[in-house]
Amino acid sequence: MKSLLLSLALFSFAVSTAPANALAAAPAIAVGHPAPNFTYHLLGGARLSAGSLRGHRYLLWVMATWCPSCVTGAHALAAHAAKLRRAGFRMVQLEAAGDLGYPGPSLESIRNSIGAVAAPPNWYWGTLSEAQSLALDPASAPDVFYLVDRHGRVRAQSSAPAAHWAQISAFASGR
Amino acid sequence: MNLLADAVVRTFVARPRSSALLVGIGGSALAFFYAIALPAERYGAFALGALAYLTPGEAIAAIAIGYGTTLAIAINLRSNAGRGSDALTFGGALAALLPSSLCCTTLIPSALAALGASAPVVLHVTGRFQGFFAAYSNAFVAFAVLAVLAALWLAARSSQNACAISIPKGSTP
Repeated sequence: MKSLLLSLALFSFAVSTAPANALAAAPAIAVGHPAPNFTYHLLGGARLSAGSLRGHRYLLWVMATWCPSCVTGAHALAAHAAKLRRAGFRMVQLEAAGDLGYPGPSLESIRNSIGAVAAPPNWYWGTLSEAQSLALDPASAPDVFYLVDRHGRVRAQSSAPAAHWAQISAFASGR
Repeated sequence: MNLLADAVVRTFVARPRSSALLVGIGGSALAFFYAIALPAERYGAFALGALAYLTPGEAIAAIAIGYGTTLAIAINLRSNAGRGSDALTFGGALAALLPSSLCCTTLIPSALAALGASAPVVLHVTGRFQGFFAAYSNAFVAFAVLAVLAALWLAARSSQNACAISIPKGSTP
């Protein structure tokens, strides 16, 4: 009986801690450290690995589709898309897992509202898994972005690209 | 409408300088505050840059809340003065802010509009809460405008009643 109870206790402990361990295993993003080497699922079914962005400065942006500053931010970036493209700057716009628990429009509809500039290789659109979302957006903020340098190192963290365009522009230009 | 127009005329005739200062400067400052606060959620920051994202509807709401609130306060101050408190005291201003019932004061709609439009930015609330505020921010603002209009109407009615019961000095009731 004792061994049965012990087995049950061990089993319950293993079940209750397994998902947390799996999520905790995902590398958390931090300024000054390399960006997690994730592979992102893009709209349309393609995949994008963080490693393939080496050699380019890029914006790694986690967002929720219902977030007003995200939609505004995407349009603000689109207004400067030509300049960013000339600078070789990339943008990776990713919907947080489950849209952070609140319903919103589809990511595809937002991308379509931006137009032709919102396309690879300058602008990638995709969705995050739970583990990726937790690693890139541990606070579950609906609008958070990172500026990643050519070596894959995170140089800055901020939110709302429309309000922080000057910071993005300076980084994209190498300043 | 006549009720409000009469109240405004009475207020500016009785206290031309202080009413003009309150509505002109106070109303402009409050309208400017809301002109930044209302689009702050879309812009992503409570900053001057938010003005670039101000929609015509938000501009109208900012003006209505800003000037409507200060006008209601001015009318209430004048009504209170008619009841014997001539000085523009802190207590008088407070009484003007709380004219008759808590639900229609000018404080609550102002707070609601600010909360609805910029709570996500200011408070950094996340997930479901922020989604809720984002989805219903227009409703918060619309309610705020309606509540300010209600506050104006209450203030005008209060002003009319103050006139009706005021008795000239020296006369017998």
